Amino acid sequence: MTTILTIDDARAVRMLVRKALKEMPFDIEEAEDGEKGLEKVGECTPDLILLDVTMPVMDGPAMLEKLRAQGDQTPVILLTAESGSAIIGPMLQRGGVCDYVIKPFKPEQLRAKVIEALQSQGAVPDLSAPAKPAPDRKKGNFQPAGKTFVDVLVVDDMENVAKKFKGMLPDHLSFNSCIDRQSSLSMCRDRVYRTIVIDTEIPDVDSVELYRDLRILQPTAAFVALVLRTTDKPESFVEEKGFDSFLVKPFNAAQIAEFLGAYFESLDVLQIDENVMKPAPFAGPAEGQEAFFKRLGQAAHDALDDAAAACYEDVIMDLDEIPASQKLQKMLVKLAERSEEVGLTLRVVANDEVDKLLKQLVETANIAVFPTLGEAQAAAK
Amino acid sequence: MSQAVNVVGLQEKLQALLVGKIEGNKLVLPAIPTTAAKTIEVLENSELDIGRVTQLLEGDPVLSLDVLRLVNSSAFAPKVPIESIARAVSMLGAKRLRTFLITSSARQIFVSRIPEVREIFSQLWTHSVGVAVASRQIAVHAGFEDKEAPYMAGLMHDIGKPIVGIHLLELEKSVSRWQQSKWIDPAAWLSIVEATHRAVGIAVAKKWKLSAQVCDAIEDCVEYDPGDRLSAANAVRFANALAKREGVCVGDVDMEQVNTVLMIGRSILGLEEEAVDGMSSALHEAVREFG
Repeated sequence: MTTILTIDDARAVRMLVRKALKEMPFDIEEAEDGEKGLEKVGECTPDLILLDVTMPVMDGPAMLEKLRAQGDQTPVILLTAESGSAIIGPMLQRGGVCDYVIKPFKPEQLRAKVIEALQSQGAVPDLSAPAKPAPDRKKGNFQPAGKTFVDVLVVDDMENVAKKFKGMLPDHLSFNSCIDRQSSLSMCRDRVYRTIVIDTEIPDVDSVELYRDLRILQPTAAFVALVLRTTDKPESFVEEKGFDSFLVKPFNAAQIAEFLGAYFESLDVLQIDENVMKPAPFAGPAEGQEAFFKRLGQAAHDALDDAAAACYEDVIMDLDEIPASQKLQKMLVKLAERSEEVGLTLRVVANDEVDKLLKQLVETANIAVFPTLGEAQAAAK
Repeated sequence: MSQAVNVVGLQEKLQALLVGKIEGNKLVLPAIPTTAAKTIEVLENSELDIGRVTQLLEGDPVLSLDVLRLVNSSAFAPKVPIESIARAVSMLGAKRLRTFLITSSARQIFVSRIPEVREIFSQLWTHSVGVAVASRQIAVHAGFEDKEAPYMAGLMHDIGKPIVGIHLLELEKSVSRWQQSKWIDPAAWLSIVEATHRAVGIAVAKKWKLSAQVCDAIEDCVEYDPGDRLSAANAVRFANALAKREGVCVGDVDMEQVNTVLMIGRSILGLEEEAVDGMSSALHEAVREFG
């Protein structure tokens, strides 16, 4: 078990340290001054020391000097209210202090510094031990920096806008919303967003300034301006202010489908594994179906070109989860044509209904349809 | 040997004279140029009057070009080039335009025709711009209410240096008995500037009616105020150290001191490492564009 020694004359601080680290798999040892701290080091051989600077009997700098003079190189994080560089500097430079946390501190800040220090020393604790819930991928992925990844953030003072927006998104996309500037900044500090939709008419908020601040916090996100129908030349607005695109309020399914197409298409519409393409099932409202198939068709068209470029002779379109429809039929006609053009044999995995649909048209009648992916792959060999 | 003694004596004499002038309010401080001052007055006295502001700016071709340069920079990244002053004014808004006008006025103080200081002043300006941009980014990451005050504080934190520098050169000429008018050692010159610039910087900031936060940042660029963590001065302290770490500075750098200031600042301002990386990139980008 990893042992952490906290040396501080204030009992309250030692308790706060305990509390901050209680969910981590650590043994926490305590000492109230530098002298007792040195004794504890001999007793418990800590993996990390959290050291205060100003203490009675023996202060932090004196204790650190003695510790290093003994040849003990245990990593030390300064946990102190002292911020003077003349005092802290020598401890960092000569005492081998690995980090610094100012009091009062946030528990998460202390936890992050402790983990970082232990990891850099190779003393990595088993952090999966505490009973924390596993990340729910439906709600968001976890980034390496510990931040949650979220697909869409809507910033609009009218709560109904976010409600409507969310209702028009496919279920698998994670979604956040907020109604004011401060909340949006706070959320953008804590999470990583793929797209951020900002209302340009929030009362008392300069949306362009907000956009610029959020851009600093979220350099990789796409920014979409939410403008009113009465906005004069929204294209110019977007171009001038630097937004990536815009949506007009009240928005409809077609606009949302376009939004999805622009920012989620390649990642969500079609999964590609070597020469097997598997479309995601359509999950939005019926009005968005046409745009969905348009995006799917384009993604599949590109995938066919890539497969040909990679010298595959055939490709398999797994339509297991896609119900038969005229739109699907229309898309497959185009894909059959493209397959022929690039010299690929197109095979389809689908149910009887889709099979019947394909047999109805000359362009798709010759496509081989298989009930399972395994059978399609076997036939390809 | 005797020459070395004389140089040290000269340095002390210059410093004493300069301090005397500063303390006696006898140093002539630069004013904000007329167009910029008039425009700032219009911006402060009413709602943004785009027509009036445009008219004022268009009367100053250099300022007009600078405004256009700003709105077409990567900081704004317009998808189509902005070619009209009115559009630029509308895009900037009153607050940012005011910041720009003070920036533009400050920049002129860092321009010198004197060969001995031209390069150093230019580097000082580059450093100030870098610190200003990084300070603003710190403000966003740390959750400051006001983002413009840290920017302004960063921009102005070294404003006293070129003013002191020029006065120093004039004083040196007047007190030196050497006919060749030999310049003192650059390191000694910088040392006098370092020891005296803050009082002048604060006086300029007050004359230009800048906030107390700006004065605070000029007064001390190293030691943080833990009692007011999210202050513009703390942002400037961190940004100043960051600029030094990134080599955007003038003179020698004590890297251990810089790393100490950065480590303390990260905790005081609650900055994550990846945010600091972003600030470094923004700092270099700003230096390339505006330095």
